[in-house]
This record gives sequence, structure tokens and C-alpha cells, in this order.
Amino acid sequence: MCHQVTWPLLSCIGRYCGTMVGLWLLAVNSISAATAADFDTDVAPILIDNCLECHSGADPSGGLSLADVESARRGGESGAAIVPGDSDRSLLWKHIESGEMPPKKPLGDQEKKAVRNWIAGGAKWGTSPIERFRITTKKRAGTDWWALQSVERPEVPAVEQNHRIRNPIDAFVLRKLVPRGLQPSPEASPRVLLRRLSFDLTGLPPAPDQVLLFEHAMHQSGEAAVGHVVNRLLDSKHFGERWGRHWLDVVRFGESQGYERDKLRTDSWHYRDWVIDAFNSDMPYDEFVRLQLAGDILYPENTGAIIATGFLVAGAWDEVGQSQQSSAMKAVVRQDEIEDYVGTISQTFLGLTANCARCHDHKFDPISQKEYYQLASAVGGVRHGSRNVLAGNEQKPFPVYAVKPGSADVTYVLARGNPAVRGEVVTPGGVAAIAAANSTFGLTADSPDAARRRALAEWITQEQNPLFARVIVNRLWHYHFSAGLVATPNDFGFNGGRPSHPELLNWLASELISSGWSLKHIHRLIVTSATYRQSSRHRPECAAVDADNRLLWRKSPVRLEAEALRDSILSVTGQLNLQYGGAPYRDFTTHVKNTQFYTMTDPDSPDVYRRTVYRTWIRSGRNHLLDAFDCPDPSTTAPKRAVTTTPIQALTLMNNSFVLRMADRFAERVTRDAGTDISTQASRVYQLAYSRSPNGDEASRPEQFIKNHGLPALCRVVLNSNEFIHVD
Amino acid sequence: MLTEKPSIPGRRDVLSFAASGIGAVALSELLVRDGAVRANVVPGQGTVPWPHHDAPAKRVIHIVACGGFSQVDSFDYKPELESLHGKSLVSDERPDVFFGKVGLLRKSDWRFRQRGQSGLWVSELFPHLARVADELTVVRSMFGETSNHTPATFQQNSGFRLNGFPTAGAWLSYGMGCDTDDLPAYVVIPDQRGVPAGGSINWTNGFLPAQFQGVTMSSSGVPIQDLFPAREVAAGTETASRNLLAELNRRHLAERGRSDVLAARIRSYQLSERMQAELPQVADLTRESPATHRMYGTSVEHTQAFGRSCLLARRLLEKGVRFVQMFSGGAFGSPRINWDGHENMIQNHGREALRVDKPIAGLLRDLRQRGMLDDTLVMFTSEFGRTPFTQSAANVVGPGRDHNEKGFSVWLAGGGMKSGITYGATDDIGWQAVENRVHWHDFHATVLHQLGVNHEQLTFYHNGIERRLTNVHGKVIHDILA
Repeated sequence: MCHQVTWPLLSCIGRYCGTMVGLWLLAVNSISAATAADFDTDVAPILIDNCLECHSGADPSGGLSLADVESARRGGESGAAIVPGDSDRSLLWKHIESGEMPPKKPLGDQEKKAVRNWIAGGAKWGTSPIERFRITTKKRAGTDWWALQSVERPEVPAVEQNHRIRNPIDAFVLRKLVPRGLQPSPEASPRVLLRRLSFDLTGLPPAPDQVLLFEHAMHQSGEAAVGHVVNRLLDSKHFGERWGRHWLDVVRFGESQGYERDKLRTDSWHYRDWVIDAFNSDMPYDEFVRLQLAGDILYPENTGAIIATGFLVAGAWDEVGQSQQSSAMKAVVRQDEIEDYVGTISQTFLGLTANCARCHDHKFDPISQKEYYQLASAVGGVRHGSRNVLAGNEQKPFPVYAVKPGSADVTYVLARGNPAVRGEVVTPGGVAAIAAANSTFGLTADSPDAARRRALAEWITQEQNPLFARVIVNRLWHYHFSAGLVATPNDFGFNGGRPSHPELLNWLASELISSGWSLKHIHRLIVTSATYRQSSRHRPECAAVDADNRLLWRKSPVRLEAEALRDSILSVTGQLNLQYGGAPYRDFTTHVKNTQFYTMTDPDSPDVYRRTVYRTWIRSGRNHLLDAFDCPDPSTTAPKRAVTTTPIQALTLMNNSFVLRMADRFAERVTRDAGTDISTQASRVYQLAYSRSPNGDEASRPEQFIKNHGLPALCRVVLNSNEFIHVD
Repeated sequence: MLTEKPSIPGRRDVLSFAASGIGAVALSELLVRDGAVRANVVPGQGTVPWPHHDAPAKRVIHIVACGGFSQVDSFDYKPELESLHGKSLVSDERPDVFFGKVGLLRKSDWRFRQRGQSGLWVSELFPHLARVADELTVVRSMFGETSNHTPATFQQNSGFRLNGFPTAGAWLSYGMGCDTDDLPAYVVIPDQRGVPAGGSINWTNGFLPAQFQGVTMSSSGVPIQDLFPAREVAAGTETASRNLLAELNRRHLAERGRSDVLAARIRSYQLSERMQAELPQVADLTRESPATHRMYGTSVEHTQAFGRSCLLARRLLEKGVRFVQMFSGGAFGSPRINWDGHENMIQNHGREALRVDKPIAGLLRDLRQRGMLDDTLVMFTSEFGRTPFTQSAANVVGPGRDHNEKGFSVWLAGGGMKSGITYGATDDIGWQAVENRVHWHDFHATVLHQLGVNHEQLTFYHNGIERRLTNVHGKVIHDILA
């Protein structure tokens, strides 16, 4: 390993020198399996967790690097750090013992003891340099991290006969649930199930007659009716509108530039339509992703493939920053832009926060700074812009906001992320920690954009990449159950959640791959499972054991997201404009005074009464009603939405002009449907808003209320009610 | 999307929307689902209940001077610049300024004088503020990372140059909550002439739950959006509607056994009624005495708009609002309606200072006389400063100045600051911060510290990182604390 010892004179003064060299030589040259293991298993993890962040690399703190045997032996500015066999004379131990190092976070007694004994025992080194990324420690993930391991298709567990098993999902869930003394909840009623399926798969409530038909069909044909209705909903155009919106959350889709000017992007909606179409046609997920990364390269003649690259440029873009005089500042802006690409790509498709490695090696996951720049290099030719594409048969060109490929500059590792301080040149590549997917792209530093993005797309989407399939099935699970099997859908790393059901996650991932990457196949499995079809009723004895319902003893109830709430209001009031796709509606007026400004409006027009996914998503023009219900800031990726409850939210839903007008329309519709009889009216309100008729004497108060205050007032109350905006 | 904890429905800390920040809100695992729900499934959750230590300040007024306000014409006195007026900049470094034009050096257009007991240097740009100079803590050594307005503004407010990060107001309303249930924790009062570039991005919640974004309020008309029905609803109908709603919701909840989320929603309607009662009273400036109005300059043409904003801000703080952010200046472009004095400093800064000088001085005096200044932190900041040389041809002393992120001044008052002092220094001409340099991260860390918040402990998990206002940086500037 290291036979030529060049011992720095300055660091070894005095009579100990010879002894130390001897010990070191002994230590280095005679590493046996047994002694090396001590360092690698007991000491290296302590150094990794507590020292190497500062004491490694090209410019280590105090000149002392502990990353490899040579530099550790060389010591730092204060001299030798380690005197083998004599911890009390070792600066390393002195600093640790006094609590001076690591700064602010002294080692625990066990760790101190391990270091001291190691030095006292001769400071025998093991693997050199220390493989920081190899093993998972208390503070960071190594390449042995669960999410990086290959997807092995697990055996479906055998479960007792008395449980309802509709598909393997249930067996995996029961195997976790039953040992905790919990039992699944009974099946939800047909009405509840249909309401749940409708909102979940299409974002809209079921029509009252559909409820009756489904209840009847369940009675007649049982299970077949569920399969039938699930297929109907998955085949509905509304499915893509619903799930497309989820995707737009993840990819920070906005239709204005952001930053100072926030200029409207009038041609970015094509990407939104492409996403909706892709979900509706069940485009294989690997192809779905390839097109978003490199569609223009893979299928240059295909309009949709070019539009798909709108993914890369869906985020904010600093127009002023790009046009300023200072080239130094422009370089910083460009690096910020590339970080946006790398971060969004790695989080969206891989559940890796590679963007955290821009300034230094990732602090928690096995991603080196160099690998960040390899990824940066892979997207080094990506630029924001509009490009003309041809429309179908008409061949009339139109502009779409998509990747405008440019030349890719040579990429360097940048010290602390600073473009002014260039380190080594890197070539496009991936993250080596994903061992099953070869991270070497075989390209040069000056390879063209096309080759870079093509290689990136191949690396990400290959079947062997264990993160690729796991991350997407977890996203689907997250939206179906309000919580992913991994609770952090964009982060499968050390700081993220651990899978509640790791085998189920693997099973779903392998099922996705073997189905030819059919997302609808996974949706179908999930929503037809007994787990999904459980009642959402509260059970105190279960909540006492598992309050968060991580083990899935019930179906967690759901509050409608902002878009689903607005869509439902439009739907029950009979105002919903079902136009599919096309240019977005605007709920604002806009004017330009250097910056483009957006003044929110509430136009009473069928053009605007389209599904909310068709809204123009302006970064600075947020809609008050939608915001009140946690619609995320479109400038940031939102893999999960918060669900908050505030007085402002109550005021908005009670008083907003849109809601009040819709209450009137609701009343008009009910009168059309039910005539003037108050009891029939109340009944119809319940059917439309709650998918049920009033029970027993339940309607007496609402009927009295209609008499005293009118039908529109009742409609307003119902649109505000918990039953309207929560789904069991 | 519910998370239920075995807790007693109705307990204040769960169902109050204000309570005391993280302790009640984030950890309730109820109102803030994201992040909090990770307990026991995600390691490293860093929500430490507030307060992290005893601290003097309880609330904040943040005045944002949009466009870049000039340090060398206001608080950073540079005699050298006077003697070098009309000379070329002598420097090893060619200034890399935003518009690329480096003219000759220009002395301040306003005379500097030492003020008050403290002898703090304040120019005649702020004659009223000068009279309360002893209340000010001027930091003269701020520096930023960019001379581009919006990224610099984002950094001033959120610590990051990029879109999508929560502002300090959002962080504090997440971390500290509000002292009242009846008002929002974080209120934004835009300049009457319009919102700044980027609009609501400037008070965004970023990745924090939407409830923590700034609520914009106006000092005239209905204070917040949707406070009352958009059209006339008879009083009897309004009351009956709320009663019926409560009944429907109670019945719905009873059928479901229990749910903190459903109960919280019922309570949110009760609180919204209180907000309807409280807000118009708070926003009603006619309740203030004529003397107070005079102090804020609310009846004088140039000062009435900002005077009303300042007065409203004080009334909001009195009622328990945590963070009021006032914008002095709106969008960029022509005609200028902010401090972006590229063309003519005298006209531009003269006009902008006139609008705010008296109102801010009135605000400080009023807070002092009401005993509120000790626990109210007032901050006056700008995204960057301006160059000591002019934005003109190289041999000309032009009338305007370009952006300068290399060195600029901000001031603070009240809230346990050491007052009547300056901290840090720029070079001889007021261009680059050279002594005790202060980055926004340090500024934010200090502000948080004065509010009892350890900037390393106010965190929120987002996509792989426990995010902080101060990123991974920030040092509290202890030298400016009383």
C-alpha cells in the first residue's frame, strides 16, 4: 500500500521521531485482516461522522487530512496529529479529550474510548483512503443504504385464511399489521368506495346516479362491479387531469419566469397537456421519463417528444440575471440554474438530493461533489427558451416552452460551488453509489448536449436502477394513501423516511417493471386492494398503537386539495366546463411595468370554469382561494402538500366571491333538478354534495333553514361543510 | 390526509392557530402535516420548541427599502469621498457593476452631521430619523452576493438568492406563532404605489405550509381579502348559516367518532368570526388621537401613505401580530417608484426618503412612548446599497449611482439592540465592506437570536435537508446586542 514513506520533518521533532516512523511502518506494512478490521469498523466510522467533513480534501482544515493513511501520518499545521502507541502525546487525542474537537459536538464516551484505544494500540490503519461512502454510519448513508440495493422481488407472504386478501398488497400489509395486534378495518360501503375512487382517480365527485348504479351493481355482481368502475375511472380523461396535476407539483411547473420580471410564458402549457395525455394513454413510465429528459434528441421529428422537455425548464428562470453586464455574476446565475435542473431531476426520478452536493460532498448520502458536477455536465447544454414545433398534419409551426439546446461548456468541479474557483474537469456521468447502473457515460468533457442528455436518460431509466422504479411506485402510493411507504417521496436518502413496508415497495417496483412500466397497472392493484377499500372510521384501540396509520389499519380520510375542492364546487353546481386541454384560463389581468404584474380577478365565465389544472400557474400571481387550501408555491418542488386549517381558510370559503356565486348557481341547479319543494331540494343538495340522501330526520334543520333563509344560503353552508371537503 | 394523535379534542395547543409556534403547531402533528408527520419515520427532525433562550424581542417590524438605498448618502459617513469627489476610483479591482458603467466618484448629496447623545452620523436625507438617532443601531458592513435586485431581495428576505424559499416572516410565524388567535402572525403592508417586483414571491411560505405566508393588508378599505362576504348577506342569515354549519359539522364528526382535523375545522370557523370582529377595529386608524396622527404624518401629502402603514403596523403589533413587513417602494422601471436611483440620486432618494422619514421616526417615538420598543425589533434594510462612483461615462460625475452589493448599511432599533452605535465599516469611499463584514445570514441569525430563536434550531425538513433561514451559515453579531 504505502512503502515509500516521506516523513515531513517539521511534524516530527525530537526523539520520538524514529520510534514513530517505526511504528507507522509497522502499522502500514503489516495490516492483517484482523487489525485492519478494527480500524475500518470501529474507528473509520467515527472519523467519517465527526472529522472528515473538515479534515479531508484538497484544503483540509488546519492542514490536517484524516482521509488517508499518508496525510493522517503527515499531520497538519500544528504538527503530528497521531503518535502511535501514545494517545496522550497525540494531538488528535488531546483535542478530542478536551472537547475542542469536533467543535461544539464532542464525541461520546464510547467513541472517545475507541479512538484512544486505537492510538494506544499502535494506530493501525485499515483501508486507505477511508471509504467514506462505503458504509452507513450513525450520521450518513453509505453505498450499503437500503434504497441503493437492487430490487429483489419478494415472495408474497402467506397469511391466514380468515383475512380478506384481494391481491398481494394486502398480504404484505397484514404481515406488518397483525403482529402488532391490529386488525384491518371492515370494507367501506359501496357509496363511500365510489366517492373515494372518484376523487382519488379523477379529482371529481361521482354523479348521484352513478352512486345508485354502483350500489346496485355491487349488489348484483359484487367484485366485478368494482373492477368495472375502476376501469371506467382509469379510462376517463379526468384521470390524466387529476394525476397530471400531482406530477406538476413535483416538477415545480409554473407558467411565468419568476424572479424580477416574472414574464408570462404563454407557450408552456403544452407540457401540461403532454403530461395529462401521457397519464391518460398510460405511456410506459420509462418512456415518459426519457422523453422529459431527452425527447427532442430521441425523437427529433416528434412534436410531443420536444414538448416533453418542458419538464427541464418548468422552473423559475432569472432573465435579468442572465442579461446583466457582469460575466462573473452571470456565471453564478447559470450555476444556480443548473442546480435547479440537477436537483429536480435527481429528486423527481431517483429520490436523491444530488443538489446538496454542489458545494461539498453530500453530507448525508454517498454522492460526491464531483458526481454533482458530472450530473451538471450532463445537463450543461440545457437552456430555457421557446422553440417552434410542427402541429400534427397541419404542419403549421407553433412555439412551445421547452429545452432550447445549446453548446455545453466544459464542466469543472467548483470549490464551494463558486464558479470563480475551478477545480478538475469532469465529464458527464451519474452517481456511482447506484451500483447496478453504470455511472460512467463514456463521454468526453466536450461531448455535445445530445450525447449528454441521451446518456443521462439511459442511466436514469434503466431497469437495473433500483431507485427509478421504487421512487415512482412510492409516489403513486403517497397520493392514494396520503402518505408514501417512504414518507419523503423526493428523498430516499439518509435524511428521508425509512420504508414502512420495504418488501411491498420492492414488490410494487418489480411489478411495475414486469408490467412494462404501466402505471395504470399499479393504480389498479392499489385501488382494488382490500387495504385501500377499508373503512376510514376511527378506531381508538388502533390509534393507540399506530396513531399515524403507518400500518394501514384503516384508509386515512382525505381533505380535498385546493384544485379538487374548486373542481368539486364547479361540478356539483353544474358549472364545470369539461374542455380537455388547450391554452390555460386566466384568473388575473396583467400589465407590464418592467416586471409583469398580475391582478387576481374572479371572472364569471365558462372559459374560466374549467378544471383547475388548466389554470395559468403564475409564480407571483397566486390565487387566494387555492392558496388558502395549501396550493403550493410553484417555484419549489412539492412532493407532498401540507394540509393546514386556519381561520383565513374559513373566511375565504365563506366569503369569497367565487364561492358565493357558486352557491347561487348550486341553488339554481337544484331548483332545476328538484323543483320548488323544499324537502326535495334539501335531498338533492345532499345527493349532489355528499353523494347520499339525508338520513331520518337529518333534513329537518336544512329544510327549515331554506324556508327562513333561502336555498342559496343552504348551498353556501354545504359548500363549507366538512362532509363536502373531506373524503372518507 | 389526517393524522390523529391520542389527544383531547379542543385542547388549546392543538386547536389554537396561534399559540406559540413550533411547540404547538409543528409538533401537534395536526395542522402542519408535512414535516411533523415524519416523527419516528424520519430521523433528524429538528423542531425544537420555541423559545430556545430568553430574549428581549417578541415581535418585529421590517421596513424594506426596495431598489437599493444608498449608504454613502445616509448612514455611512465618508469624508474621504468628499475630498475625492470628481476623481477616478483607484482600485486593483475593476468594479463589476450591474450596468457596467463606472463614472467618477461622487460625494454625498446630503450633508452629514453627528446626532443626539450618541453622535451617530446621519445625513440630512433623514432629518426626522436623525432626531431619534440614539435609538438606532447602524450596521455599515453589510455585503451581499449579487447586484441583481430580485435575487438580492430574496436573499435579504429568505437567505437564498433563488425563488421558493420561505421568508424570515414565514419562518418566524412558523417558529413562534402569533400572540393572538384573532389575527394572522405575518402581515405584509405593500407600498401604496404597488407591490415590489415578484409580488407575493416576496412574502412566500416557500416550502413551509401555506398558512405561514404573509397576509397582505391595506391601511385603507377592507383590511384583508375575504374578511366579509363578497356580497351582502343579511345579518340574520349570516348567523343562522354559521350555526347550521356548526351543527352539520358536529353531526358529521360525531358519526366518525373523533378526528382532530375535523374538530380543528369547526374551531377555525369560530375563530374566523372573531377575526371579523377584531380586524376592522385594529385597522381603524380613526381611533388614534390627532397627536398620534401628526406624529406619523398621516395628513400630509408626501407622508400620508407610509404614515398610515406605520400606524397600522403599530396597531397590529399591539394586538399580537408577530411580524409586520412594510415595503417602501414598488416595482422597477420608469417612472421610478422605489429607491433605485440610477438616473438621479437627488430626485430619487430625496423623494423616497421624504415619504418615509417622518413616519418611521414617528413610529419609533410612538413605540418608545408606549413602552413597546424594548420588545419590538425594528429593522430597516435594503437588498443592497449604491456605488460611491456614478453610473456614467468614465470621465463624468453623473447624477445617479449603480447597485452595490459589496458594502451597504442597514439599521435596527429596539428589541434589545445596543443603540446609538455603528458596527463594521466599509473602505474609505464606502464601496466595500472591510471591517466586521456582515452577511445576510449573520443578520438573520442575529434577528432570530433577539427573538429567542436559535437559527440552527429553527428548521423544516424539505427534500433531503433540514432547511434553515440561515442555510448552513450565520453568526450572531453579539457586539450589537445590549
